Amino acid sequence: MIPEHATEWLGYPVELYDPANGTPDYRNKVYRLASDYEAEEPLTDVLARFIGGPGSEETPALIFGLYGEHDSTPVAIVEALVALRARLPKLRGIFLGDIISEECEISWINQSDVSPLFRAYPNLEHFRIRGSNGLEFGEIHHAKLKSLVIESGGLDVGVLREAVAEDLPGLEHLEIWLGSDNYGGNITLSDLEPVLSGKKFPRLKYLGLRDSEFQDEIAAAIALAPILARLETLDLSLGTLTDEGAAALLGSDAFYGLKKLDLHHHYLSDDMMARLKNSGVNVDLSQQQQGEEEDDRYIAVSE
Amino acid sequence: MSARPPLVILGNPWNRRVVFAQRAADSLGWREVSTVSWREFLHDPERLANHMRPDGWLRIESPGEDFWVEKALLRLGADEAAAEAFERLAPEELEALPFRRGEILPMRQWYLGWRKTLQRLAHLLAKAKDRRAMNPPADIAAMFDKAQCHEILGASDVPRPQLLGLPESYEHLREIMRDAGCGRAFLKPCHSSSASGVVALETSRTGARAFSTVEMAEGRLFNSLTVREYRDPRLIAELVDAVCRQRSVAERWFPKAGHDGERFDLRILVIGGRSAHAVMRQSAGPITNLHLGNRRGDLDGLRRRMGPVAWQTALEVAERAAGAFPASLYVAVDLLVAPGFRRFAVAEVNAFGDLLPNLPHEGRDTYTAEFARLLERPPPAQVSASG
Repeated sequence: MIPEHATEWLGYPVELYDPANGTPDYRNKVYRLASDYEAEEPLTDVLARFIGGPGSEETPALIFGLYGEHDSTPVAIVEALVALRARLPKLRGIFLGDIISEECEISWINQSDVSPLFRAYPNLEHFRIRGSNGLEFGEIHHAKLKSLVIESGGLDVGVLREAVAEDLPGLEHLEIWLGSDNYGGNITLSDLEPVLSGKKFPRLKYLGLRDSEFQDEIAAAIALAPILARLETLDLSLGTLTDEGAAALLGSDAFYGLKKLDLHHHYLSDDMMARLKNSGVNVDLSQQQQGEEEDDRYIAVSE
Repeated sequence: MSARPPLVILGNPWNRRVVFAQRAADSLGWREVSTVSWREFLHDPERLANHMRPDGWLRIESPGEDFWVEKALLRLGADEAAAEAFERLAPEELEALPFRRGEILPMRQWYLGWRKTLQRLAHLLAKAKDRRAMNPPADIAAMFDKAQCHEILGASDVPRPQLLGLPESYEHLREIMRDAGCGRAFLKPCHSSSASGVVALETSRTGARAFSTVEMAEGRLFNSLTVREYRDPRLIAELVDAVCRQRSVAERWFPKAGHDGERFDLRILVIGGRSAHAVMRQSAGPITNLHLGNRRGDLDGLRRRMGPVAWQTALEVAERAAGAFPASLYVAVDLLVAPGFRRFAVAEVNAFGDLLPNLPHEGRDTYTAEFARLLERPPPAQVSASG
């Protein structure tokens, strides 16, 4: 589950945009724009009001929360952002769908074709999106994008194929939540090949293949994959990783070149945790889960 | 030590609520304490009258967790229930009813019997001067009716989740949700406690899914200790129809804030108008009741994070909710906190929500604090919120 909204993004503190609090601190904060859960005001109007304040051209990044309650999609927000591109010259980050489980479970968040954003904002560096229903990337050629984060409770292979086929020569951070087959996830290991082979994304330093029900297989494949030697951070958190996957990593020479390994929310034994701690790699081993049988092991985010 | 007024506890004597209350009275040096069981009272209400002394106090405890008492209350509600359209059991069905763990029995009928019992109790108290209850029966009855609570709290301007209505069926519920532009709702039986029968419903154009502790088996409803997800539209309709037949309120789903990786709400016990014991109920799922595998969260950490202003506001909202029942000495308020900690809503007011063991506040457990407050300052003249 997703319990909370982002409180910090790209080094900025995040605050909910509330016109009652006066003019936003455009330069020093990132704002989450969201439709109030009982509000009648469309999110596009909230965005228009936000942009209308003095100094809004300083906005470094924007986060969008709930679009509206009933069956809403962000189509109108994508269109509005495209139309406002001249008013947001310094925009470097867009996060669509900072929606917590209490507002809408991740597998029910609707998204849409986001490719117009990449054309409208050639200086965009960070794109993050939660929810993959209806999500389309189309064909993107974008020289500046550094990070791409796709959070899903069950990612459809079509979305993944688009994402990993994009022309993103500057990409340093790629994070994909695979999710559960119970909620539409249908990616298999071979679909990840374009990333693991290292042929795509020559500048990649951070690879997150997270929230997976086959986290062991992913770990085993990465242990042998050419990409591993180039990574600074490997993130296999939120999934069902057991000793099997961790042992495969420890058996790989390239593993010891990592600066950071994130495994939080895992099913590792105490022994394996000790071995990882002694590996010399900085490992996040928090949130150890209990699950003897495969059926007792759950990923962190699916519903 | 000053003299303690005589005290009678009406409850199920082997229940820990009663044991804790007796122990608390004892710790405060109370000598004249007697206990009358619900079974005795239901047999013969005058038995209670015989125990009550002038200037004495009555503490009314939950009738729950005793199948005999539950059946007796259902029996008492049978006539009135027959005049309504909600789920009910005829007297002969009741006689044959075996105990099945977790089974949800007709809640409306139970409530009608419970209300009648509380009315008898009120009548008995009114018959003689100087017989007073720590919480008057009429308030307890009101707190056992979530529809009535919406009215009472609304009259005191207490923020609540938006009331969508009292749906008659799944179809009706979907209709009132559509009309309100609402995609997510909580359906709560009006007369339930401990999340019994509660359904959290998410809808879209293309479908719906529901989270509930309710299990359906052979036409019966059972409470389970786990929250299960329903995705089969036929089962969701069956489940919601069954819960609507218990008489239920539908509320817009008020999004709860998260802390420490989970969502939470607050149970705040208000004693004599002032907030006292508080529990953070932290939950991975949408239903926060602690018996569902949820846990008490780090309240101090939350308070620090919320900051003094937001925390004070939360307490004031809880106190305002309790203030809607001015004749009741103690009221347990379930408070929802929105993300950002700026908005609050009262989800429930509980007549018997003070069973909060191992939670001292200013050195006292809930029961001791309530009795101590009674000695310091008895509640004002007993005018109940429900008139």
